[in-house]
Amino acid sequence: MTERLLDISGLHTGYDGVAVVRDLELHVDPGEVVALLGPNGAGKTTTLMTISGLVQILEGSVSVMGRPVPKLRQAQRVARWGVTHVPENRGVLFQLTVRENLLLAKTRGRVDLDRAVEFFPALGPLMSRRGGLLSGGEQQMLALGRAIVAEPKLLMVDEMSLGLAPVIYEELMPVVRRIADETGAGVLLVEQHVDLALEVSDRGYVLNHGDLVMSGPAAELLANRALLDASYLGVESLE
Amino acid sequence: MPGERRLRNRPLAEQIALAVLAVVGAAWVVAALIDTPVFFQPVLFGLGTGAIVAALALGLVVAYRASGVINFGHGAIATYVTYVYVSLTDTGDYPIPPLPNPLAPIEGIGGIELVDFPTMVGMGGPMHPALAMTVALSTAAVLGLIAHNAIFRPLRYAPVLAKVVASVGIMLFLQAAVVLRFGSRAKSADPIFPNDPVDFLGVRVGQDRFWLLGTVAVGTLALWLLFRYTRFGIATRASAENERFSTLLGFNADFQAGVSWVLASVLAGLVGILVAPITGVTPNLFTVLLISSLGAALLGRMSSFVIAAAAGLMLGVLDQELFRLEFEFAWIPDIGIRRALPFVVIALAMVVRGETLPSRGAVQAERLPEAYAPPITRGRMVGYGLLAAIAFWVTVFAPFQFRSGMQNTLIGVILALSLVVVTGYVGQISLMQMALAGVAAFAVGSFGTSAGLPMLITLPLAVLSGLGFGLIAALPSLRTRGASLAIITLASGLAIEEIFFQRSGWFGLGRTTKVAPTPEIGGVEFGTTSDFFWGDGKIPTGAFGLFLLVLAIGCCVSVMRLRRSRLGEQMLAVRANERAAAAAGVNVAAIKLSAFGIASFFAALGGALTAYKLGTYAQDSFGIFVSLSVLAFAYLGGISTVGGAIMAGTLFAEGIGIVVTNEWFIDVGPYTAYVAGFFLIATAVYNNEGIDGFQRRQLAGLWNRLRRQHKAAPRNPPAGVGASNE
Amino acid sequence: MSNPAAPDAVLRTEHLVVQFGGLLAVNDVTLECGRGQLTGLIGPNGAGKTTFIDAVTGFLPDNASGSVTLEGAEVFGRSPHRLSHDGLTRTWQTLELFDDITVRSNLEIARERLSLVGALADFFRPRRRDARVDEILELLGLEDFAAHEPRELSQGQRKLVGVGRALASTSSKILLLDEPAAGLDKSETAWFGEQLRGLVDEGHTLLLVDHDMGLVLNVCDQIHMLVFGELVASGSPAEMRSDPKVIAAYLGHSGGSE
Repeated sequence: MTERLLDISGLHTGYDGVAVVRDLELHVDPGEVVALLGPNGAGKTTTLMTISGLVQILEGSVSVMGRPVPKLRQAQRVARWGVTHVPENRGVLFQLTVRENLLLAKTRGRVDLDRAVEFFPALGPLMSRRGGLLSGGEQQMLALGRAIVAEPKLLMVDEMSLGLAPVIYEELMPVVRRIADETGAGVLLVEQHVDLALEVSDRGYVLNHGDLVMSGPAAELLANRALLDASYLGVESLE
Repeated sequence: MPGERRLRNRPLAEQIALAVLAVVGAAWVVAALIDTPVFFQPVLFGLGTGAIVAALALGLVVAYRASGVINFGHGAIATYVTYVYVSLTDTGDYPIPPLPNPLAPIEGIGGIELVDFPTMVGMGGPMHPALAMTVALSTAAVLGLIAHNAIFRPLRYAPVLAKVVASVGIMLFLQAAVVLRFGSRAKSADPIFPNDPVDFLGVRVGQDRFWLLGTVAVGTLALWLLFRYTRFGIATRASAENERFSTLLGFNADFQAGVSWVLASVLAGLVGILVAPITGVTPNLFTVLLISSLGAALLGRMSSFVIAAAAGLMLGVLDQELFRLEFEFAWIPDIGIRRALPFVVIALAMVVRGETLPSRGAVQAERLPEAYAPPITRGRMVGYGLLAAIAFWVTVFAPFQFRSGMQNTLIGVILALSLVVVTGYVGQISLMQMALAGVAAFAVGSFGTSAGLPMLITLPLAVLSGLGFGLIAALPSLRTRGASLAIITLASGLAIEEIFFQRSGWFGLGRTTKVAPTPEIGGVEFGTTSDFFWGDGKIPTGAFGLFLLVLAIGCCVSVMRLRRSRLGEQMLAVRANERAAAAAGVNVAAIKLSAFGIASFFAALGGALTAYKLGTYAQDSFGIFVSLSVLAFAYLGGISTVGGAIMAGTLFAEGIGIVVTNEWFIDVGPYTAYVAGFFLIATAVYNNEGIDGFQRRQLAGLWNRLRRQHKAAPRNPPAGVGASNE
Repeated sequence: MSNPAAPDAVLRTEHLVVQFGGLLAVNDVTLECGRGQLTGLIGPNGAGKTTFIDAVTGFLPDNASGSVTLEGAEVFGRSPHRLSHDGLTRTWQTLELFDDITVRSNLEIARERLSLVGALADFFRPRRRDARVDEILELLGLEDFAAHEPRELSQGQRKLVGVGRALASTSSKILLLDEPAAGLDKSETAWFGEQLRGLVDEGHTLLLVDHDMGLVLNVCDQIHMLVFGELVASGSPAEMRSDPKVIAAYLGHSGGSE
């Protein structure tokens, strides 16, 4: 059987022994885009950090390509297995130039800078500019570009739309789909913006206050609009 | 906004400072062109020292970039490796660091004689320099690995205080190891660089200086390339900016830090080995130079190799140039401006640039040591009374060597209390407390003996002098914190020492020994030699000890009250979080200044009492290394509690604890600094609350266990054991 | 419920701007917090809510400009501890309690401005129990924990200590709460909301910054929304709930819910 890229079962995770996410079941297969949705504070970012090994698992299991996530001190291994995680604040290193940022896509071996420029031509002329001097949109392109040249098997993108104007993220979102289609990588997409995420996703999970409240194919979730909105606005039901 | 980093332009003050520097530099170049040899001689001489300062600064920057630690032990690593090299080329002996013999306490009982550990391992005669260098540098690499793995990796998330203390521990430990193995005499080695003199611009100098300079230049370039262009270097910079991000990219910050520590240590060792033939080495040469290096590295914001190296060279040149000017122009007062150079540079770097050290984008720091305030119960009061009674008995009736030890302890308690207030309660690291003590001590000589004022006037005046210096030196603390503050207080201490203690004449207080008058109030003398109607009449009599005891108890009670007062609680609030304290209405600047004031008061009091106790004294009782060991003992005892200060005083140089050990067990005398350094590191890494916190938790654990056993049948076996440690 | 028809403003910002380099984190925000009301400030992540609080409480002297008035008096430019004494107090998203001192001491810490004489007098006379602190502890249901250190408390209780500390400040006129419900679960959040409502019923004025829409919509009297540093919507909870701009900002679609 083909191994799941990511398989989470019965996961409780959080900080200082206090679970922020409880009893989560989730999986991602190669070539599919999966959206992890929910309002702020639902535990989405914590889930991604747990997959990357930066937050300790309290209970349950997370396995990446069949291997259990290592202890905190060995967290860098997850990235070496082929998991690329674009964190919420994009992970752009402000003190490094765009080229240096891209070079760090891999820990060893050649990095194909041209491929990043192929996806985001705007990065081309910015190569020697420092990350901190880029606009928000450019930073997000750099983060995604770095993810592309890392040639990941599993790509996780946290809150891509954060702090960006709609014109920009509406352009970036389809790139995620393209990565999955072209490279066969699995993508786990964390988003607050439901429509945006579900438009490019195959399946979705909705978290609220750490509990999994809905999950299923993207179309099904979209059809259940009212319930979805309610979970966001914290209202029991909408009349 | 949390994530946003401000990319500021150079502030105006910095621009002005740079402009002034440029003008001075230009004027100097013009002068040099007019009268070349006279101006270049100091430059060429200065470049020698400058190259050492620069090379040490490079190592500091390497370690800081990869681990965020400012290593006060960097110079000591250089020293240790150099001595290893010198010993290998000299006799072919490899020194074994002094090791404790676990059976030592029972030695001599029942006639058992232990075989001593070897102090050296012979390697078969003098070694070839290249081989010796390889062995010595391997030793450096191992030291770097140990420093990283055993000390700074466990301290990764620890508060800055623990890191500073641990690196001070490394310094004390290695320096003591060198003294124990090789003595404190200067050593030299056969030249490595050709040293035939050459003529250069009309000045005759040894060409080894140029070789050294070239090596430093190559080293700077190599490090710059390493951090600029290799993936390792880029990733290390990434980790320094944000460790989390670099981990997400698959890089191991821990590995980078380990490699960099090895690199930094090897660099330190290399500096020492190359310099030893040129200047010779003494156990504290590199640590003294390190203070200049810290200034240079700070100018480069602990991140620029090129600026750090250039600043190091400039410091060396400036030092020689000022020396020439002082020599040539008699009107320049001989107040040791030259000696205070590192302080001036560091102060400028701090004041002009403000708080701009790149801090690691790291995770939350661990807790600071608990400032435990024991509940006031009747049992505890009886305990305190008992302790005071024992102290009284030892001070007055015990044999003379114990009485003397007790006096050292009582002064040590007062000195340690000064750190409890400023470092323990407010979290500001001060490495200048003994310099303040020295100011007060010298004032006792000046006011008491030279001016002949009575003690009731002399003592307050002396304390006020120390307090004044302390407050002035504390002003930069309002702009800096953490390791930067440690550096600036170290430099302040050095400046006070160099300007005031090592000079005579106009402003000088020291150089020669000072004499303190016999303490006397209202005609009643109570000096260490004064007659006293209790005790055996031998010197020291109990009279002065009793005076000390009263003062020490007063100080302890005051600090305990301080801890529970509103001022004390506001201090703890500032320590916990300056921003939150300000938001809660605490005037952070005022609290810091008052803490420095109180601490200076205790330090000055301790200094003045030291003067009265010693009678005749010189500046070496108040040097920066004494300041560092005071911090060491205070931290070892427990930096944030009065109990810790008492413990510190007990362990203090020639304190009662040491006297008791010497008299009843083994003579630890020569090993004091060595053992203290070791335990200081261990305390910083494994138990940041010191001996006081340790025994408190052990006792609490024992008490709980006893109570549980008393209450119920044995149910859960070894409880309480785990609970006693965090 | 005390909800006066035309409340006078305790806190008022006018044309408040915060700039970090080229980034306008808060852009020309003018808003009011009415006396005895719970005002909510919402917005997506990165909208500038915390920056707004930092600017108002004097933590961004180099980056902020504009005007902040407290009961009509201009207070912009004062230092944080001064503002705290003036009655403009805040809590922190990350709590920042003083862990080494008891809950009671956390509250007492800035009850009065500490003078040299006062500090010295402390050494000699016993501490007086501060009645106001007792009141606040009781109000927040923390009276049993006064002698404990904050780390012995639950997360929800620790949040309340943070609130209590701000309330206890000399003469708290308005309390700015920065994401107080972060990290609380659903039931804790609801309970916390009730406590806040209780404070308002006692006559306190509060500004609540949170992104938990449920909490904000349930407990606030008046709500403002920031997006990209700009004030884009204001109104009552009912108005905000149906405002397309609010829904767009939170859900990423503009049609409202079908």
